[in-house]
Amino acid sequence: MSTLTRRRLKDNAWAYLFIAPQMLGLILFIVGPVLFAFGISFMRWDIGTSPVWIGFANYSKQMTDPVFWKVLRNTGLFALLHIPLTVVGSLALALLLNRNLRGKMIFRAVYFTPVVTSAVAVALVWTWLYNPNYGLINSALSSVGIQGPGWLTDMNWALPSIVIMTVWQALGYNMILFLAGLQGVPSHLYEAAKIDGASSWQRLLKITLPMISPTTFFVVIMLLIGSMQVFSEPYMMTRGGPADATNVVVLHIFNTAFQFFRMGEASAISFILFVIILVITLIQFKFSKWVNYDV
Amino acid sequence: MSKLSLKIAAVSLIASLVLSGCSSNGSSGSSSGSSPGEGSGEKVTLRMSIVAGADEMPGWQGMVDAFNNAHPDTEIKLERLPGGWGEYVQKMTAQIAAGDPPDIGRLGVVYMPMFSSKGQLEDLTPHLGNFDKSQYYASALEQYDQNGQMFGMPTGVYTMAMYYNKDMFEEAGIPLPSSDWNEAWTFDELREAASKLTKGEGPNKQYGVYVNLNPERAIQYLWSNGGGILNEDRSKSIINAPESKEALSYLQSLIQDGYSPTPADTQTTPVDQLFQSGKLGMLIEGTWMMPGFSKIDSFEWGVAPIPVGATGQPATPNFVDAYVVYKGSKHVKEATEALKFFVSEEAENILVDNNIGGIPVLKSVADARKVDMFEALSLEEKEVWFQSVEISQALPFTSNWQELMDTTMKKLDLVGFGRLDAGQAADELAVELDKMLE
Amino acid sequence: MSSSRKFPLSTIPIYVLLVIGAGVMILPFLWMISTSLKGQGSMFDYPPRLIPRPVQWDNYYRAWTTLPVGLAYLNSLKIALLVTAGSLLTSSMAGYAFAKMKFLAKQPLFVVLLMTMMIPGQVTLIPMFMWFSQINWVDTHWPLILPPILSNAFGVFLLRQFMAAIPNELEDAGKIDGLNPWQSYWKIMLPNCKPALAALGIFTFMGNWNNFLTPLIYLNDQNKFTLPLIISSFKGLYTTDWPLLMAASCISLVPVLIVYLFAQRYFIEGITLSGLKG
Repeated sequence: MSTLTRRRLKDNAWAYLFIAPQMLGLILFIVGPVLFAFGISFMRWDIGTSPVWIGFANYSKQMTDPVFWKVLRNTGLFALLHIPLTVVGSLALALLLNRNLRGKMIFRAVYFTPVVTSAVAVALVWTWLYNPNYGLINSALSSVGIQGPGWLTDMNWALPSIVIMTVWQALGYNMILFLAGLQGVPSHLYEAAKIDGASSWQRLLKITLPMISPTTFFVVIMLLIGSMQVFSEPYMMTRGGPADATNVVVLHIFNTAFQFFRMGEASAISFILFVIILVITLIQFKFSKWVNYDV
Repeated sequence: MSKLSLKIAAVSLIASLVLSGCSSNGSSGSSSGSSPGEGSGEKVTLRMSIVAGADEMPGWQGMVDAFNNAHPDTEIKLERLPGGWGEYVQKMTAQIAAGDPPDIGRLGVVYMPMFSSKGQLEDLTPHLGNFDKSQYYASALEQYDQNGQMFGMPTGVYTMAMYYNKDMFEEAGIPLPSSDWNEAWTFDELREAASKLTKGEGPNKQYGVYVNLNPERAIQYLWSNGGGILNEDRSKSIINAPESKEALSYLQSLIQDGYSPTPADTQTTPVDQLFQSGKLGMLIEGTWMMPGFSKIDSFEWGVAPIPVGATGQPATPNFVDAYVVYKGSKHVKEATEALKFFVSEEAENILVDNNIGGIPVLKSVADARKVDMFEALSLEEKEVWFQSVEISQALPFTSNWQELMDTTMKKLDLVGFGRLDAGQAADELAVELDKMLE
Repeated sequence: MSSSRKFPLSTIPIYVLLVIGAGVMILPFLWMISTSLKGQGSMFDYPPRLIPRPVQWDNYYRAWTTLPVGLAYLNSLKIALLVTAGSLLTSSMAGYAFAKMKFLAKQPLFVVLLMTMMIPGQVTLIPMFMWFSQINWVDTHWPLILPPILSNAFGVFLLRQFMAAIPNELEDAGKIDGLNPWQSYWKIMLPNCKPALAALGIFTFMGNWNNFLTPLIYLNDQNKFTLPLIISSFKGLYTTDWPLLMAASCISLVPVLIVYLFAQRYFIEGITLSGLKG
């Protein structure tokens, strides 16, 4: 009995040793600022003057603010489009480039270039591609007889335009993650399946997808967390326009905090967003039976 | 303060003690990083933080060096923030909140009311001493000198006027406009010229004029038509007044008739590039375009007054950035001294030498240096800029100006895209703005 | 017939697809390089020209000499390398514990770790600054180095996922050989996670190499500036010298490409799980 508890204590000690650096960072750099921000969310604070306690007013105000609902809707829509497109696209890309193709190294490098291209250059080239009158996209469409939309300047198309661009950029990034995941699939499994006469399709469904499910799960969760906090693309390309069509939650937080100087309100919106992301993430964890760990 | 905020204070205090304990192994003492120069004889160091383009730096540095040379007991360290105003404000805000701001800054005019009304700037009045306000352009000084408090010193005056492509005018047979603001074109004359200058299709289309619906760049049309955005005491919006509506409808019609590039076009090609590549006949823009346009060598261009609406009274907004002393500076007195130097004859001349800062706020320097400024223009055309200072007005800034502009921009976006009638937009805007002004 | 075995007909559609995709992917990258070699006037020409005429190599010389790019390069290199090495270590350690060990409050701690990624940085920026100001870290490189090393929830989560997928038999074999947890982490887990470590290494290096806002907020002294700050200096308040800006961006890209090429070899072939019974 006592050796068992000692053993458990020892295991715990080892585990805490392993997580100690990260926990130290959490305590030193995260807890304080987050608690501060949480406190401020119950106050009116414009930096220059001292904060005034106003209870839940910052939160309740959001419930009736049409802009808040608009940015929340836009953000949700963005995530709903961005996540599946990116997951499917980058997984397909990784599967293709994990095969024995000639020049796959070159392709991998090329598909990674959007990740390393200067953000300013990306934004400029895409606004040029999206130009409704003579951009490359609409020129191509009109050559096959389709009248293209106004893209970034069209209220219905502006958000999808941002989605297309961000998916384009996210493909290479997540392809790398999937490629790393694919390397972890032991090759003897494939050999065994081949001997059993499994088709390549069956091998994909029965071996590859289950084996990389931890990676897939990671990619989905990270895309969720990231896309609910999308900021820099709308900030650079449209500033949230036209008429709030691409205004998203974090852009709204940025404006509220650093353009309008309402720190309390910005904090409150942040924590509403936090709760939303947390709940969706926990639901994902709850239903993650499909993820194959060897624990 | 409430219980919770006390709790937060306690948590922060404990955590900060822990943190400072951790850090003190490397550096000695933890709190007094920039302790005030105690006692006399010790040299005072002032931090000055500005946002500026790389090409402007020699001028600003030169001005600061001149101050340091003339004041052996004070030294200004110039810090340049690479980025835009958005990032500058973010950084200043963080530093003010932490109680460790730079002593001196250069703050964009649109942020001034907000910073001053929220107590983030020091009042300079107690340290002004023998400062002769009468030597400065009133239109530049008065916006920072109100109710017996002074929150900033003007850095220089920027106004707006109409740049135009002389080659295109000659080709279209349009007589060149006068450089006297009292003989400015009317709205109708502008439309007629724009229609004559507009030609071609697609990417190589030549546009007559650029209509910018950003309210900070369009307000002069409303003013000269008898309208505006806010009333005299800034308590109510007048954007729905008939005169304002008429001006907005006029602007919308210029876009709808195809004389002006749409917001979609200017998203792809910045409008100053459009002008520089000879695809735009007339551009109503600020003095800040002068250095860039001075490099144009493929065509002749000039500057003229902005066309005026029904009142016949010329109008142009002015933009006067300010030198400020941030709240929390430990050397307000010395910093104010530095600000006084920055608007002195010596400093203003350095700025003119380096072609930055706009028109000097010190009248004597503005007069004496006319020959050296705006070298790309003829003497007559230079007067467009100098005369504009006299007639210019400040925008009706309020402490929540950014929010007002944000709302206004969103609405006028729709007007620019032709999705909303200008009159209707003005009516809807008036309701929203009034609510924000309460 | 051996050639058709190497290049089967069925792969032709795949190649066509990949090549079209590659064109779409690389366009802005090519545009960036091409603009960096153009004269200032010709950048908004229509139709846009990919091959600059004339080629202005001079832009690179100007970009390197007008501002202290060399110093910023060293600063950035120091920060990015330290952070990459440090956070690979700390996050693989924590990832290992969360993947393979049982301990008290494991689930709650993991959720808390994930939660740190869900709060927008905009709202912690000011308290964080107040913090670092109090301990005199403002205008030093510490806020750019220590927090990303000691707080990398992304890395912990990523490596936890990879390590969880590694068969337990491997570790069990080690335990029989008398390895303690640190040894089995170091000798068994890490070598089997190379692809994931390589991926995390690329991302961490890149993220910290390109980070703009944090150094902007914390650094005042131009001699301490990192490369993104210097590059951003090429932007004017009203007008921008695009070719110069793009030349500087290309210069800044070189280390990222080197790191990518270095890490890429870990994706070439699947690792063989040594010691695993077939």
